[in-house]
Amino acid sequence: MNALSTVTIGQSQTVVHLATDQQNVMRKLMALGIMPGSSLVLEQRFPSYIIKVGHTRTALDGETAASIFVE
Amino acid sequence: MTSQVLYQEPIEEAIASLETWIDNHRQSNLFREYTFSSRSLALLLLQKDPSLWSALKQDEEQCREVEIVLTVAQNKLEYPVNLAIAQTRQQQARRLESIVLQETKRTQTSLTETLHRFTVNPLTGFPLLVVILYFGVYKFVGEFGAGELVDRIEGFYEGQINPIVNQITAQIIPWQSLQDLIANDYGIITLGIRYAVAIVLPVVATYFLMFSLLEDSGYLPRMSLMLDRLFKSMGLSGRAVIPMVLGLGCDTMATMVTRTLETKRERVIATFLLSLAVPCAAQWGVILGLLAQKPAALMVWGGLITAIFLAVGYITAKLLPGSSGGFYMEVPPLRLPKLRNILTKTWIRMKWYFWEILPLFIWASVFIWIGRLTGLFEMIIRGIEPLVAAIGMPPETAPVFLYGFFRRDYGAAGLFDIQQQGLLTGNQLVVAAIVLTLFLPCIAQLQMMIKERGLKTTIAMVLFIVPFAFLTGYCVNLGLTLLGVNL
Repeated sequence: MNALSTVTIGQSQTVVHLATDQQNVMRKLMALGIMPGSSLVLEQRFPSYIIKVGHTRTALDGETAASIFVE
Repeated sequence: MTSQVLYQEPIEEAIASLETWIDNHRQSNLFREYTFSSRSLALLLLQKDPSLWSALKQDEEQCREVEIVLTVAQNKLEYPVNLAIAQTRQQQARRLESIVLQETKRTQTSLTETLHRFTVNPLTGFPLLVVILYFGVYKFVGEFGAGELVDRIEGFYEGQINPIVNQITAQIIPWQSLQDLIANDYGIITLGIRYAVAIVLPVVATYFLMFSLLEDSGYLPRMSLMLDRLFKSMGLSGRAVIPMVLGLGCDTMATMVTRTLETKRERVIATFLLSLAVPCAAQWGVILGLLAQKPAALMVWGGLITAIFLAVGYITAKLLPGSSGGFYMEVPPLRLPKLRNILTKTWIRMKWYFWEILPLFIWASVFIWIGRLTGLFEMIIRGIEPLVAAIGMPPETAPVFLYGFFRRDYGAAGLFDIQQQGLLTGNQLVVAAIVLTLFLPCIAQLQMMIKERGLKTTIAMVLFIVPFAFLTGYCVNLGLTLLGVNL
């Protein structure tokens, strides 16, 4: 299990775990298609995280991105 | 093709038992306002829908029955129930997509993709942000909207409409004091409506035009993600970029837009910063004109206001309990905006905003009328004079601060007149510009603050802002004098 802060940019990753106890963050991530089993591509980390899930692109701050763990 | 989504076994079991339970309770108050199927209601209950659950919690017995079903299902599942539901839906959506969508492999990255990278890469994105703010906000809204257009419309209003109104009022109403309510220098038609039409409308029109353009092109989320880090240090998130940039157009409108921020804490910080350190287009337009001949003075003003904005934001974020809301935002593809959509959107927003703000300006006229009639203004000006003297200004500038409250740029414009008479030195101009920028938000903004944040919060903010503005002016004046700087 790897944090998004350590993975290679541009490679497809499979989400395995969402580590947040905030319901609204969890709900929002799920609505954006980010949940265990879905695959994502990290595009950049600075100034904000940008990830792509399917055809959807999402911007996240470091704190929110830190709750996403990939294989 | 309407295939029902089939969830995992434990969830389907829970849905089935909740459906029976709901059918038995259909007549109760709980479900009276919900008209959709029992299956949908069961799914909402399983996903802990906040409004449905808050209604459910009124009856402990009912609540326990549902919770048992939920726990049973949860114990059989690997993931939380709502996550499992979302996963199944996601899979279904993917399956549908794979059936109907055929993707051809692109050999090269498309233009929109290249453009997207350009907007979010720190090396190119930040310069682009500066360019957009410079041309979009500074040049178009500030110089064209708040400068050129305001001058023309106001010139027309003052030259063509005011004399007629004054003349008619003088003929119909015999009492001078009542005439002043409608016409003359501070009347409802000659001042209140004139401000709304001649000052606010051009600023807002150019602003909304630019804003709709950025909105429809898909640039706004990119702007938010570029500035999120900076805003985080002030207890705000990237989402607050929109009200803050709006504030450079019209702070009253921006205060209203702070509604869209996620947490109460963010809304309070944003409202506070808007009223303290974000000058509106009408205001900074005049201040730029005032200091245009003295680049050093302009630098001192701009630098200090920016520093205060960042420092006060940082300190407020440290002092206010709670943490800044997380930032997550979908980034839509960049698109070429359609002119028709932009014009329609701008027009609808202008109409809505105009009717929202018109009463505030009419009230401003009424307040001025009462203040002058009762001698209250004279008293306040006498009260401000020692403060004005303390920051090193001649007493003639005292009314400027009071009237600046009724219209932000009026204060600066009053200063302009005094400067024309050669009464102010460079140092005094800078000090006055700084105090005016920090000083009370205009009366329309103040009314909006009360409406959005409540009376108590607004009073607390004002009690900080007024002494802070004068104290800053005092320190700047003292500092410039001690350093022997003459701007």
